[in-house]
Amino acid sequence: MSEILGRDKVIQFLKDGLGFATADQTEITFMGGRNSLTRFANNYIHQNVNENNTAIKVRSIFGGKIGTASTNRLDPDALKETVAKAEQIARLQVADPDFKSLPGPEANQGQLAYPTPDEATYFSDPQLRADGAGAICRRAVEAGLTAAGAFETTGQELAIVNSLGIASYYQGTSSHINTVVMGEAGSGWGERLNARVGLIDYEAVAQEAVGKALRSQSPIALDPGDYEVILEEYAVSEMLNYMSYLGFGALALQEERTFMEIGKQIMSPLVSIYDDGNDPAGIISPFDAEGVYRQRVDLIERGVSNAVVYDSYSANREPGKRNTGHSTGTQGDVGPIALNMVIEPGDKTKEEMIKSIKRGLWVTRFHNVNPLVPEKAVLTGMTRDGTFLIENGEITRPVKNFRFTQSAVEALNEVVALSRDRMLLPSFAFGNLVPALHCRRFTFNSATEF
Amino acid sequence: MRDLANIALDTAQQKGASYADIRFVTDRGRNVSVKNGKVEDLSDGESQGFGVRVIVNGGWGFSSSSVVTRAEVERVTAEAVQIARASASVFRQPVQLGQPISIQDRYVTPADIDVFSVSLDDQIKILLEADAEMRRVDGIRIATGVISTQKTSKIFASSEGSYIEQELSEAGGGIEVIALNEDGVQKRSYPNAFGGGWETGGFEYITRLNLPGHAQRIAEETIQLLAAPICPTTTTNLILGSSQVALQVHESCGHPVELDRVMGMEASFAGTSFLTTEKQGTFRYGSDLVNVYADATVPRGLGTFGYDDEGVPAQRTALILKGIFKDYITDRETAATLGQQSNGTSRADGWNRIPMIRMTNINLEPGDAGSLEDIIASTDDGIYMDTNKSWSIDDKRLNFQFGLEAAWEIKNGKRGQMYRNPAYTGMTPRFWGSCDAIGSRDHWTVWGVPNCGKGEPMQGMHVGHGAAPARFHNIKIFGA
Repeated sequence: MSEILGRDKVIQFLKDGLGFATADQTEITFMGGRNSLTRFANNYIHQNVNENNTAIKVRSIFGGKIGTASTNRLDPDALKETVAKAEQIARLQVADPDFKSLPGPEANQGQLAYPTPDEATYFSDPQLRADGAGAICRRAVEAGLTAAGAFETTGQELAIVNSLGIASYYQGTSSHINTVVMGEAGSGWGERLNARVGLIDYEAVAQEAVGKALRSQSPIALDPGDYEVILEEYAVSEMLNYMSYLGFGALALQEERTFMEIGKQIMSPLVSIYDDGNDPAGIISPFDAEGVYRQRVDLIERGVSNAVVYDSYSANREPGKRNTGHSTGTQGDVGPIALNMVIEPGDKTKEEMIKSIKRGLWVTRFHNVNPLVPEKAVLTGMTRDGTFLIENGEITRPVKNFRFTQSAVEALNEVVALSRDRMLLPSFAFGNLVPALHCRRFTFNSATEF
Repeated sequence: MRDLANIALDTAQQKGASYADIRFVTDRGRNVSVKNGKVEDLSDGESQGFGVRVIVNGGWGFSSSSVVTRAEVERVTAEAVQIARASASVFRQPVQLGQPISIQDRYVTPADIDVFSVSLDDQIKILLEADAEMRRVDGIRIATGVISTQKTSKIFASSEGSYIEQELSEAGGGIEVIALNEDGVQKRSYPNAFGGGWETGGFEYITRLNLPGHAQRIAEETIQLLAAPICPTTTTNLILGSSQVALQVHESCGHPVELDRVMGMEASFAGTSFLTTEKQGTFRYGSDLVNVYADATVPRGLGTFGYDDEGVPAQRTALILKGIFKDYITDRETAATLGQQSNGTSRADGWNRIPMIRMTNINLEPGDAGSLEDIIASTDDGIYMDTNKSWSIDDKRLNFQFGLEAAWEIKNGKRGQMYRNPAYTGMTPRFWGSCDAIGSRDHWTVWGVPNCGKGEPMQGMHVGHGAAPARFHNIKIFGA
């Protein structure tokens, strides 16, 4: 699509779809928009793409029998066919006794307030993205280095209506840039995320990645083992994403496969984590996949496991629980997820954190992270693009990359300081606002050759 | 569609493109999943659209749309040209594609039973029967099952004169069971974890899997795992089940031989590769037993097709022969930089993505060590590990670590103590250099991997790996 359809047009289209429905309850979701991405490598643009897409998903319910159908054709006939298909499928179903109802309008209190979408981001000019990529490549060339990365813009319209009266609509944008700058023996990383492409400071990204790449050359090999560490925001956000996926959702708690033990101190008292899809410092995502407004949920309060996020399905399974607006659109597979997480800041600068360490490691980011023991949030992965030795309060040498095998919960229990500055970085769908962390102990169990 | 294709190709050339192609793609899929006796998901989806790829002033541009009309084809083609001009403002040298390719053909995946001919009701019955079998075992907490079926219709047309139609179909299915106690969560899967097993072809694959017939065994093994001691930390002979050998091939052979990674084109996301071009033809990748091919022609492989998404015919290419690295997997652009022709591995995840180098079926050829039980019988001391639970490998594909669902001690040629939470770690060439037994062809399976991720925006790809059980010596193992 080359235009924003707008609230009135989209909601009316979806309500027309409800008019075709014969099920007890029906929900129709619309997702449309543009995604543009410019990739560069070896100091030139090698891939440059744009996508215009729409999708409609229909969920039909007869009693507890649920059927789903989707299409990306956007015409009344396709909508009618998709509603009929979802109903046909639902009739084949076996009733789910845990499914009570779609959410009704009472789930949403007040009015949504969010910024006007940024047209410069929604319809980003490919030359603007090329200019950002070119600036990074020029900086790398000037330093005798090689840059690779991506500059992405997204504009999205999302709308959900259901037969009980939910009618939620939102237009949003985001822009993301990242780069790895490489020398013969070492690399550096830079990354930024913002709702508006005009606020992406690609010169600062270039400066950060080039500076770190220059410091990373000729790394020394250290023995794996336990180290005191500073985890930069990039590493922290990655770790947080996996914690959300593994343990911050109600379904994981109900199925007893999460590290969360409500009311128990599981992390350092310095650590507080909440999820808020309406935080203006984040990438706003005002309602979930069922059209329910996202509530702020305090997941970890001063290290205490406080709460998990719910969707309608998981809330209805547990007496006294409220839907917090964290549906991903499925009943019982992954379940509800926190996608707009914030870690409260600390009071230290990164320089102060380094000065407090006699011998430790500075970790820029992680690579290829995967859960090894999901219920304990034991993760494994590699360090990448800027791992340094800290000695007597100073960064002294680049270090060859390590493999870590470490419980994220235990790492957060070892936090002794957080940075007061934070970065907005990608979650699995939107954004996390996170500080850098100083942990007393972090386990690296092997090393690689570079 | 031929008229719309011509409009795109003509428009692109009129606006200055030296090369253009257009792909029309329609993906249709059905998914049935059950969990603890309930049908968890019953869904039907379709996605259709087209993507136009052009070279203008030596730079690439691509745009795509779900609206398949003449006006939108013209608009999107113009957009692709505009994007290519922006690319050309930051480029090193013009893109070269090698010799022009002009092919007109049609390919259809061979299938015995059309994947959409089996009713959802019958699919639900298979899964609920397996679900009941799993939950019949005391102590089972969660039992799940899934059957997925897909069809893809593709038309590829290029300014070099190609017009290729393909009708591809595939099926996948699996079951998984979870139990827990105070020591943690344990699970077993069949035939594989992370979506089960997958093949191109028809519904006959699901029938052949016989999911209910394996339900009780994996449930009982899961309960046994709860009481099993944690895997010891040591260095020993490691025997891997064939599905884990397939994933080992995927991570430590398939990705390193992607020439775009080697050339730094994936550096910022997936990473690069230790397998730099001076190693071609001489580098010892593994023991003499290790022979690896990229084969997009192997029957039923999940990475089997007629033509890739640049219109290059499916091929079989030797990558590693008797342990020596021979060749990469390539697309037209990267092959041309080495003065070669593409070996046909460029694929896109749908109409809205550009094609890029993707594994086809990257197969570790069978050896002569017989069955898994034969390999165990010939091992005095070691450990057997089965079914992947976790994977991780560094950005040059050297240091890896895998977690598995279950392990058994091997003593004097026999299976002994079961262990929970087994894991092993190593470095790619050393690991393959330690390979001293590979199972025979009768015990060789082409495993489907439906979740290979690469590129930005992320592209998921369905790939295959032929593998048999295999043994490796002096491997570090531990319990997670």
